[in-house]
Amino acid sequence: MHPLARFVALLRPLTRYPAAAIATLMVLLFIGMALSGAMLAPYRFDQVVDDTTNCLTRSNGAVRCAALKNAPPSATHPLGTDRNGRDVLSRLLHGARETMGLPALAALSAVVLGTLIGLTTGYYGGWLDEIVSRLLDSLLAIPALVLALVVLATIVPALDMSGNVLVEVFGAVPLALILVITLLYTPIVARVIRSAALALRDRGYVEAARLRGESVGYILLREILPGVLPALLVEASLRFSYAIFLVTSLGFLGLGAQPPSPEWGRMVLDARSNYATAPWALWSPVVAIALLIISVNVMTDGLRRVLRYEQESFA
Amino acid sequence: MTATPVIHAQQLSLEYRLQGGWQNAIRGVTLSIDRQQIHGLVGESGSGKSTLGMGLMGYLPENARFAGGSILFDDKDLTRLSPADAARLRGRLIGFVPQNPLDALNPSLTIGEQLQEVTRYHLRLSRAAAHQRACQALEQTRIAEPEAVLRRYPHQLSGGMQQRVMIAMALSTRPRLLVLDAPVQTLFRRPLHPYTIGLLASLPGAAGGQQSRLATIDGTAAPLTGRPAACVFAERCPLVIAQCRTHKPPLEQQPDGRSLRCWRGPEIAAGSVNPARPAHVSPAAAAPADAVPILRAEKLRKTFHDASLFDRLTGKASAPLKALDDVSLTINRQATFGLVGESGSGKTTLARVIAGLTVGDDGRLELLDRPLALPLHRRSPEALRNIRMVFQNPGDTLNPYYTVGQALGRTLSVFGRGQFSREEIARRTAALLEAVGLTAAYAGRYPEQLSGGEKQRVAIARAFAASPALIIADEPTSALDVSVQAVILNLLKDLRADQGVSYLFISHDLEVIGYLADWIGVMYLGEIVEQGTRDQVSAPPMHPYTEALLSASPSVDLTQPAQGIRLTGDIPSPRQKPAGCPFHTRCPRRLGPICAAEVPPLQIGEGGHQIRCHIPLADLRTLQSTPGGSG
Repeated sequence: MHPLARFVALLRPLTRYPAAAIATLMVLLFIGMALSGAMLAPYRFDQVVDDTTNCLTRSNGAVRCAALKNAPPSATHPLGTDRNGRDVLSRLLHGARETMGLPALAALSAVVLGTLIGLTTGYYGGWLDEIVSRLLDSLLAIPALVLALVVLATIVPALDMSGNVLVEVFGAVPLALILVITLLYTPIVARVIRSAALALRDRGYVEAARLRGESVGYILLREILPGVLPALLVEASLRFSYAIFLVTSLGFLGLGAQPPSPEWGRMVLDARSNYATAPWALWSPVVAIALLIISVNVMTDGLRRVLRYEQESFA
Repeated sequence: MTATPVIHAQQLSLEYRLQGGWQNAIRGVTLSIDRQQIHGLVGESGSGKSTLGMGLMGYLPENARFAGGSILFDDKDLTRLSPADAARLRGRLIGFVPQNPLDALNPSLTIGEQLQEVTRYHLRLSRAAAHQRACQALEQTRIAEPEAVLRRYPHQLSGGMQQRVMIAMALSTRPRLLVLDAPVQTLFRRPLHPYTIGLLASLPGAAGGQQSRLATIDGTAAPLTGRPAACVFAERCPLVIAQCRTHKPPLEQQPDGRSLRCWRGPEIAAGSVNPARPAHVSPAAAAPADAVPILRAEKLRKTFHDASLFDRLTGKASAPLKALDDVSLTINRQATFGLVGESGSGKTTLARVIAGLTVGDDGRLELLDRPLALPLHRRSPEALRNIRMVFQNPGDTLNPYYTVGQALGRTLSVFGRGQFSREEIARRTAALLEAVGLTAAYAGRYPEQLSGGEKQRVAIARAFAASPALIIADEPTSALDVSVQAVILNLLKDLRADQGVSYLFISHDLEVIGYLADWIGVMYLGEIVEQGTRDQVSAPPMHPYTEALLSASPSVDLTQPAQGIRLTGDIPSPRQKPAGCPFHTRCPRRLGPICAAEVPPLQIGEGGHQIRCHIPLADLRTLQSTPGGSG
């Protein structure tokens, strides 16, 4: 069995924790939503819905209807419409991709980078570890939101001007968000992985690999990495949930996604001033964000329990 | 046995909740312990020693319960007391010394606070009286400077001192019964049960010297879920008869006061059958080593500066640790160099420097007449192939994510330089597993499915996979039961002859070294103070340190009265290595100021025997030949 397959087999006991199992299911549903929500949605995210009871027929025969603004939930619009007359459910389904995809990409890049740094510094130790660790510590000392605000304010214009291929693909703001989150979370991941790798460095099997003359790459990726996978998976899941939180927060502050984006934090911001007339437009993204973050966190907790449990039986 | 026993267990049974059902762990045990009596309990791991020991204190893990019988202590039945009452009794009248003192001591409290807590809680002593009592208890354990020890934290004490603190803690309430859970070799005069005989015979000291093999016990202790119904030892007993598998033997009182639970007891007592396995001597195993050196080490040095960058910048660095100080040795083809010494003497550092895992500071290494670089990354693949290592801890010697087959296969393909086909690797893996007494089916298993002994066999197979010239074994059996240790030592001995390999074998156990090694080096504080053949090192003249080690190792033969000299105190920290002769602070045969002032000369005796001591060899011989002389 490949080490990865063996690792996946270790996750089976997750079913023993009902809450974690349900949460995992929820996260999978959310992921499904991010992947296929755009196809399932009855309307486009920026499509203004016609109010069919309020139409005029022009002299040339064309029918022009008013927008269906602030409509309460109904059979055709299960979550109602917002103040611009857009279907809230459709916006939620469309927004899932940006709300989750961006943090997923950002968390992934932080985890990959952090793991490489953590494995290397943990394995080598010495002055390399000392210098890199102090650098990472100094990054950690800056409050996350402050760093995010500063970096976004400075790099978004710069990115816009650069004409980079990545800017073309992602857009300047999302790319800047990925960079910021990577910068914020790489030190955290690196610290966790470093201490896990440090504990494995002197294991007999690692020394046996050194005595075989194995390359550093082999020792890090084939001997030590499987041992830190539990820590890695828990950390990745945790970083994912924090990144969702940060992206939606920035969206809400108006610093992330820009209109007419259906990113959920942005949806909360747009619906906030209109709460009295269309509370559903506010509650829908709020509940969605809360459910998503809680699910990811409960799943993380289950993973942590299952993996620690399995780790002990290894010892 | 007229006096009432301190504790009396009658038909005691204990169960564990496992896999949804209750499994018997202790079945119908009857024992009583009289005042001032030492009752020894031996057995392999998994035999229930610790469970019984804890059970006698009325202390059970959460998933255990008493299933029958009684424990009478202080006119109370411990099996019926409430947990709170049992706890009160336990602290006051029954003391307990756990196996691992570092786990039992709280790292954030001083020794004094922890010692006083016991008497203040159980005996309601005042703070001052508790302090007094703690001091007294420490003095009883002959610890140096008890007042100073009370102010220290657990990590500031050596392992031996921690153990003494635990004993002092158990003694401080003046208990009537002391339960000691420790892997100590126990003394027997003439055992009768086949299991006891097997255990005793598997100790290296009991074997008839180099030419023989150690007796072993088949199999391992049965898991809780599969205990035999009749005699528990039947499946592994060399004397098993049909009756053993069907009927449980009764506990029979022997004429000398012992009790025995065995159907064949009378025959064993009469001497008509002998359960110890006949010792096979393979002719090759007895072949003498030729004197072709394969590894030469000259003046190896290693000093550890384990201060961090910050400590060094602020000048707070602790004294450097001299782990190796001018160590020279030669290992011959097909020979075993046995390295012995207390923990902290530098044995492991020496092994790691030779293996290249730790880079030596200075000195020369030569492997098969070619210079060998000290750092690992500067050694050729050929040099790497020729020096392999077997590690101490069977628990982490194999990567839990790879099967045995993958572990062995990787070594084979690395050293086969990719020339082996998949089939060739599978074939060789199977052959290796069979060579270490396992079957080819083990290739598909993960380390967690193996016992400690099996893991160590796989580790040995992995070392041999490269067909090396030298295998370094760093205490490979210290974490194993004596019965498993015997299997591993026999295996190493057989493989040496079959594969023509040499060993550098490290152990703190002189009997283990004596069984396997033909050349022995004795290490103390980073120096080899004596080296010579097995016979030279174990007879006068010898270094006073060797002499002390020999007399400190417990003898299985009770007919020999304890004699010779004893070591006092712990090994000094290698950070504050004494000047002159490093052993002078503890040496019972110290000459005088010269020992503290001058480094002793290396005296060469007959047959290459080397002793580093100021006392002339002839004088040493005279001193040590007189029974009970000096000391």
